[in-house]
Amino acid sequence: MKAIILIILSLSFASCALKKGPRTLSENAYDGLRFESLNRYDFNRLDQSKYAQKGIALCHKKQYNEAYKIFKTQLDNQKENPVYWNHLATCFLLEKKYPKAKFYYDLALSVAPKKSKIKSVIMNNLGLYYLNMNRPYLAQESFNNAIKGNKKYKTPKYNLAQVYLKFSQFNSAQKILTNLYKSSPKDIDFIYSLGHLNLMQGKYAKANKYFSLIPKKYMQRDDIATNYALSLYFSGQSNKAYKIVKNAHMDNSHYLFAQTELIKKIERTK
Amino acid sequence: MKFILLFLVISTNAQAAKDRLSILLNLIDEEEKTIGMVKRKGPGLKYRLFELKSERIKIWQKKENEAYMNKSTKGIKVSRKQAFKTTRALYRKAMNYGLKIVKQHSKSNIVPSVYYTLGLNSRDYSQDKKEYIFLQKAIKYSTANSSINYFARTSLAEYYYNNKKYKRAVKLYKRIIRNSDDEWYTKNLYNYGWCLLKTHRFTKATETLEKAYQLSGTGKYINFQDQIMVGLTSFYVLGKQIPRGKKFILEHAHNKYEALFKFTKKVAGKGYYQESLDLIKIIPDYFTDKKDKVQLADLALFEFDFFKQFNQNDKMFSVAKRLNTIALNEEQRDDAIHKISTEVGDQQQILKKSFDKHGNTYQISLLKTVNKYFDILGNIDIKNKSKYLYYKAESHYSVHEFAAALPLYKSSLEYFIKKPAELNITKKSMEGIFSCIEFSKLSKKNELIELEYAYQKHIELWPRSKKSQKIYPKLFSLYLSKDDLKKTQKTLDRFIASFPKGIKKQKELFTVQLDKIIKVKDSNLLADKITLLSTGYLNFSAKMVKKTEKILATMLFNEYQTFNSKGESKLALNGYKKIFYTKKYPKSIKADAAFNMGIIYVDLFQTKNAIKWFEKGLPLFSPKELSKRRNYLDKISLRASLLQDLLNAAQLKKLVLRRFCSKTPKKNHETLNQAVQFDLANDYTAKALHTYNTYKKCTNQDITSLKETIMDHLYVYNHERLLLNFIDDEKLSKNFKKKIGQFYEALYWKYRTKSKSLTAQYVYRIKELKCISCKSFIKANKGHKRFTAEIKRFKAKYIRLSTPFNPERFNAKLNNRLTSIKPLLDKGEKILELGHPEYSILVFEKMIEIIELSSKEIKDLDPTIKDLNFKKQFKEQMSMVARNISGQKQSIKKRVDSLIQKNRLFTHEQHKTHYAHEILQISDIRNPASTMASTMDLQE
Repeated sequence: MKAIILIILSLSFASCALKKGPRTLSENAYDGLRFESLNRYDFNRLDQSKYAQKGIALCHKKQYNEAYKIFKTQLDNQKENPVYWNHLATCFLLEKKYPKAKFYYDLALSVAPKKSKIKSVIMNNLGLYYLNMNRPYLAQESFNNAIKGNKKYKTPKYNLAQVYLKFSQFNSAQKILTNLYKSSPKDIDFIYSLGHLNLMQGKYAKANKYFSLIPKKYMQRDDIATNYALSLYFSGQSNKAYKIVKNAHMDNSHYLFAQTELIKKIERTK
Repeated sequence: MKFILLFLVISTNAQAAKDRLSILLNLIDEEEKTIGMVKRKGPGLKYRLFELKSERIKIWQKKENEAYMNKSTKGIKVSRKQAFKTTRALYRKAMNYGLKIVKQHSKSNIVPSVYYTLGLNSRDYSQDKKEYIFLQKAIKYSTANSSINYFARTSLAEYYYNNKKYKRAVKLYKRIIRNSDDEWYTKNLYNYGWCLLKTHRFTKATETLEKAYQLSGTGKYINFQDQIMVGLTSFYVLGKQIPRGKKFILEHAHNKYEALFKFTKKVAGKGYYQESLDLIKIIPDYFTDKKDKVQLADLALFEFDFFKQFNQNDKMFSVAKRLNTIALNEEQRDDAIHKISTEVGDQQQILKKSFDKHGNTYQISLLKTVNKYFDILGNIDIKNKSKYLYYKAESHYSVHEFAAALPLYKSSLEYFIKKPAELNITKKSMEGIFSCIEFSKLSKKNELIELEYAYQKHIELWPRSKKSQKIYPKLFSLYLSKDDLKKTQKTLDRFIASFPKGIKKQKELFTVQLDKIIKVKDSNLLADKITLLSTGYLNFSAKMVKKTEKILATMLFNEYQTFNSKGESKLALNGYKKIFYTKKYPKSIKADAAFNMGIIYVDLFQTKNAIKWFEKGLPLFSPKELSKRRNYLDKISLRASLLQDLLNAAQLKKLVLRRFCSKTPKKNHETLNQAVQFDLANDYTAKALHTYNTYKKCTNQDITSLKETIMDHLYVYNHERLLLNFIDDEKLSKNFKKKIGQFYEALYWKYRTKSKSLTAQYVYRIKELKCISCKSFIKANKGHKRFTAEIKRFKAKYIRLSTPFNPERFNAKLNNRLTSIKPLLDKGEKILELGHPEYSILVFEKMIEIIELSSKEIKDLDPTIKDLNFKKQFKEQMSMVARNISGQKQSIKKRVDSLIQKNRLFTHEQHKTHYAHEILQISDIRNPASTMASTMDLQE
């Protein structure tokens, strides 16, 4: 019982220290989507951006009520602006109020001009909505539409790659991620995704190569640390794997089991 | 009944008279017949016949006179000659008969009598002027002392008197009055007295009449005292013997007051002022009944004339005043009124004539007197007081005293209205009033007061006259200028009642009044007018009524709108509430007030209150307004939805549906869609379903797409129980077979490893659905089941090693076992041929399982062999066989990879067939895509 309480406590303290979320990036350089998405901006970056006072930035800071107030005051000037509705819908999406998010995305689409860039943006976000609703096919369709609408946008491509990764569409994922990596070779998630892709195919050496490109600073991220450690472990580098997994934040329940299992396995072989 | 009796009595009396005359005539006829039967008639019988003839004349004259009078009273003109035809004829017949007797019996003693009768007949029944001749002959043929002679002389004297032959009459009467035995002696004296007077022998005449008067009262003679006294009073005056008269009357007069009064009148009539005055003074002493005021009034009336006769105006006026204090009988009152009216009329004429128009001067005292006379008249003749007040006013008007005349005209009018009299002075008084207002040079304020009075009275007295038709608007304008809007309305109402066809002008006035009310911002009054208009007043159009209501609404709402815009919504709400609960305001205003409250509550996010007030307001709107409000509610609802207030937005839509359910089925379609979608956007599925179920009846449009929306939502947001119910209740399987099939299949996969009952339920539903993909699923499902069962049986048939180990038997078993793998895998291949992606993965998974199972089974074989070397060799060989079997796994994984990538299959069922199965066995480290994916939000 004591152990459980300790784990819960340690988790809650850790989340406070994280500020915002596990996949935030503190430097622009590592963010290949920085011109398209605030998703991976940490609080510092958000505060320093020109969007700091905008509703959408507040939503990324989880200050939803304040954000909604701002949106309300802007309504009369913005009601024909699809960007406004996209932001509002995204806020609801971030707040996990999915039906509302869908409602306002539909509204955003209804005011967006045909073949406009914003339409691609909305389609991307709708894809996200569908992912949250466990509708991967619809998500895939939305991301594809977003890409079709504007081929320069990286976010929908990146998102589509995540769908493919999840559902073992390795070739398709490979193709997209390689291109993204080439366009932004420092992007942490691009690199990580490529590493994960290879790991899932049992290509440990390639995976290790990609994981090793990730700056130390981000090596503690649970997804990165777990994936890299497993890759190392299955490629016979138990010690290195042990070090990496041991240094992981261990505040993401999705990876916690894998991390502890891996540690046990390695410790057993020692 | 009484009438009939009266008629009978009357008719009986008339009939009786006629009968009596007939009887008399019959008697005469009978007697004539009887005498006629005598063959040789003597003068006596003949004279009797003559008498009977004379008697017949008398009767016929009576009859004819009666008939003549009757005709005259009936206005029928008949000449006397014609009327008395029979009388004349009978007269002539009788006269001829009488003359015949005289001729036949000239020496008979009946001759004077016949002549006397002929004389009287001539006097009474004819105008043949033979009276004198016949009377002369009667005297001539009669003896001097005979009675016939006396009677004939007396009749002749009367003849002289009547024919103004007074001297001859005096001569005859001198002889006649010698006979003091005649009961008519007093009459003869009276006639004699008059004849003396006519011959200017006043003293003798007076003495004769005084004697006649005194004898008349003795009882010996016929009493002529009254007649004689009348004569005497004249005789005294004519004979200038006033003191004698006074004395005689006071000493001998039987009725001293009467005699004295008559005497005084005669005296006054002859101009004896002082003597008359003296007599007047003593008359009251001889009033027969001092309590009775009749004599006093008679005297006063006489005095009035008397003083008038002698131009004693002051005294005359004093008498008039006195008359004002005496109780007069009807006759006296009429007399007094006549006398005073005549006098004051004369004085009015004088006053008028005395008025100098240029100098504006007149006899002020005369005007005063005239006024006083009219006051007296008004008092005596109170029922005609209005007339005298009018005359007073006229008197003032005649001398241009307009300001003084005006109240008098008004008084006369008021008095007449209060007590109507014979002479209707209303029109004339009204004319006088208008004229006086025009000429009086009144101040503006006073002029308005007087005009108001005049207009009011005019329309009161002649509400439908032509002049009134022009006065109503004037009076209306007058009240409007005084801001008296109650009276403007009252005037207008009267105008309408009197001139129902003058609607154009009346509408104009009403509009002017409305403008005024609007100008002074009297919302209460405006509300009253709207109530009036809404009753169809003056047939104003509905558009006009609406327009006025809008003005009132603006007037009422302005203040509260200002409050609201300043953020003082509570004050605004209170204001609107007050309007709503004020009875007199029209429905549309109340409706607007309630509606405005609703809007404020919406802004305050107090939807419950908002709905409450909308609900109160909406039933009060007209259908047209209601339709407008619907649009407005739609807009508010839309705005609420845009302001993220989806709950209120939905509530408002529901309100619209409630109110317009049966009215606008086409429009309701969109409203229903939105109401449901707003609730779904909040994931209020229960509300959404309730809305759908309650209001789907409100539209006549196809709601299939709405059903699909609801169904999608229930599926996406995992409301499985509701989803299944909705599909069943709405029988959606027909229209959305494919989609529902997908839903069921997805749900099946969701629960495949978690709940047997749920998976069984979905398999059943898929089977029932009979869609194309469903059939494929069912086949694959069944195949998979059979395949699983085969595997189970295969597992059970593992190689059992015998003890002691028998290599030959073992080889047979192994061979049998190894050859049984392929047919089993082939069974799996057959299922793969069905092409169901998910089941294909599962089959592949099962194939891997068979391979792993077989590989492990063989690898794990451990026979009881004492020869360790042999045992080692056995193990190595088995491992090799196991590896060979296991080697097939990779090719299956590749096939799966190819299947997944080729078909873009997003499956959660891939485990053993996954390349990273070893890693995934530790934990599924594949991130959910949703946590990795990024929003896009940096586009301006």
